[in-house]
Amino acid sequence: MTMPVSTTCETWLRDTGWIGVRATADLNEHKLALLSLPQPPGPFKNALFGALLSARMGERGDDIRWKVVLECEVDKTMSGALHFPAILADRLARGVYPIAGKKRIALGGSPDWIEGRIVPMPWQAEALEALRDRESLNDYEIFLPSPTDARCEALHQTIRERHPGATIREMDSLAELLGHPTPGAAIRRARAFFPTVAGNQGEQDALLEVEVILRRTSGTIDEDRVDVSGRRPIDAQDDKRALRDWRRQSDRHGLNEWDTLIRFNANFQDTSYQLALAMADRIARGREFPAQGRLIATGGVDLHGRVLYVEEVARKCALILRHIQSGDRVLLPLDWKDELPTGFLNGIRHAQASCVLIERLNG
Amino acid sequence: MNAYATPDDIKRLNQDVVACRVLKGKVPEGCTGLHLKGEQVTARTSVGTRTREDTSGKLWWVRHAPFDLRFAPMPGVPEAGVELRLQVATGDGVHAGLVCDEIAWYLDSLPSACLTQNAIQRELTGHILLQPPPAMQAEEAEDLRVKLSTALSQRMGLECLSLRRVDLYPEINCALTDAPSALHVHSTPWGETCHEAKAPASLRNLIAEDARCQTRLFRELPRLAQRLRNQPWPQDRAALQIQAGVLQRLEHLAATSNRMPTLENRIDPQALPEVTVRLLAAECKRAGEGLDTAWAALEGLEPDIARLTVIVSAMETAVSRRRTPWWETP
Repeated sequence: MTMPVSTTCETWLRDTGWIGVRATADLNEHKLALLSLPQPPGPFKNALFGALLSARMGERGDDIRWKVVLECEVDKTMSGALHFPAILADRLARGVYPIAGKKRIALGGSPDWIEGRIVPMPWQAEALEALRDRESLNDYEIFLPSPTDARCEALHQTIRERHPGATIREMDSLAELLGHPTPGAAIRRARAFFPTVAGNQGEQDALLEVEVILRRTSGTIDEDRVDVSGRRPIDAQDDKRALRDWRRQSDRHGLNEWDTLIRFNANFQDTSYQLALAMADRIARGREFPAQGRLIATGGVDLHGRVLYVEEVARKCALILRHIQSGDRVLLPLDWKDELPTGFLNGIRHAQASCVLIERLNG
Repeated sequence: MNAYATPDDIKRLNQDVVACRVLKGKVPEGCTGLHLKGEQVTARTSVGTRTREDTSGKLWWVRHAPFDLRFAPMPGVPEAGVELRLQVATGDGVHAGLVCDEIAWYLDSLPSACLTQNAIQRELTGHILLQPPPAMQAEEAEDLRVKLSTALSQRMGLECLSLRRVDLYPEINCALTDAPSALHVHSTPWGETCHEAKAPASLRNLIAEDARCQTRLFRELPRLAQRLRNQPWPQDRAALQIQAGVLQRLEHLAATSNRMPTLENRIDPQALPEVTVRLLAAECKRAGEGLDTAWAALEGLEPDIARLTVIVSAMETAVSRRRTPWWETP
């Protein structure tokens, strides 16, 4: 597993414009953790230090051997807006939020990083306008708190339309980085990951994610409204129908109470995502507990909740082993039992993750 | 606050009250009387025995029948619940005298004269060991139960007899548990949100929680070291040295963890820097949670020394950070 060593996350400040926070992490086997900020001492440094330590409180198994150095491009800015990108850069550098190969932008803040709830900054609309006007955001992952007014909502929509190559991640708390729902949030989100394989060489094999976003409807409706983004329209139709039918057949609690949006982060040609989708849906609706880390699942699901066999056992297992991290939970079809590669389960256990082979989802 | 339980509390002893501190009286049906002196049980009295006023110690009536708790252990998913069957380890039966000190410690540290099921449930919500995985299997539930039982018996003298997943969807009012919190934060301007987070009551709760964690560290660390010392020692020299090293660090931690300055400011409570207090309290909480995971690592015949080493390191870090007095923190 390759860990990013150095990473940068950008944000926008009213007086300065776009600036970046760079984190460099080094795993020191013999010493306890150090968090080093090269900025001159002062209230800004103290506040940033406090925010970083507070945010680390919410991490599972904070490895105490990491040494992290954080640098800001400007050192005179006294802004709390730098806290959010600094926290993300700190996590990315240590591999706590392990999705590599993207540039990041974070706009938002929090009154209390121990709770980790993320709210818009007072100048959020101006920052979103600056984001909208950037030339290209291809390969960017953008972290934004949910919009709180019509202006911000319209700007979110405009940014999505103008920059289709960017991944926009709306989140209400730091817990959502690992796909956990935010306690008490009006909109519930849960994410799960699934391995996909493509080509013969395995170079295009990737761990993709599916996010389920729910909003409770104001009254009981005839049928759950389900939308899908990130897939071809023909596949999206299948997903909608499958989720509705599956809920109606085997998981009727909370039926016709939710507006649902299913979001994939990339298009793909595979059917092994169904278990991940079903689990993310169940977690978002409170029918299942979230994992301590990420939930990685592969397998098909039929209308009665039975988990079905999918192809490419060896390659998918190898892919999962490459990406596995402490606290992750892996769900595989029971039919894979005899085909699992030697040492796969030991590898999962060695990474302090857990794996179960399941036959059906609990009703 | 009453030093003794009210008659209403005593009537509810076989309903939602688990233990009551009383002055004197006849031990009611389904209960055991525990005479505590300091943090030890000096005598036990059985049902129907009339007890006189104990001037040198405290008298508690403790329900010994199992009781069930149904709640959502993870606040993010209020519909997914667990049902626990707990029982106070009063020291009756074959284990007489072995485990009753833990409940004595716990009752002695309670700020009230009555222990309710709700209070236990509040303490268990979000517990570090009570995080069931998605698609939990039967053997995983049993594993979780054993770990939780080990931690609870050391922490508060409770045994966990069973643990199972339940669906709380029909029981909760979804309309109440959803929207308000997020909407409230979103509709409030930035400055007001910050101001609201500094409610004095929340700080008081934090300080009380911090004091409880400190008490736990003070009481349980020596016992943790004792447990590790009594574990079978490995034959391999390298493994032996590692285990001895962990034991030494644990003993050092036990000897020095009582030097953590208080978070209270009795002269001017309003002058407490909230961010600092929250950070320090969170460190103490982390050290306290380390105790739970350490008990779980020592559970069973073969202790998980590698895991224990990491836990002890984390606790050392948390305790050393917590030792900084709030008035010296920048």
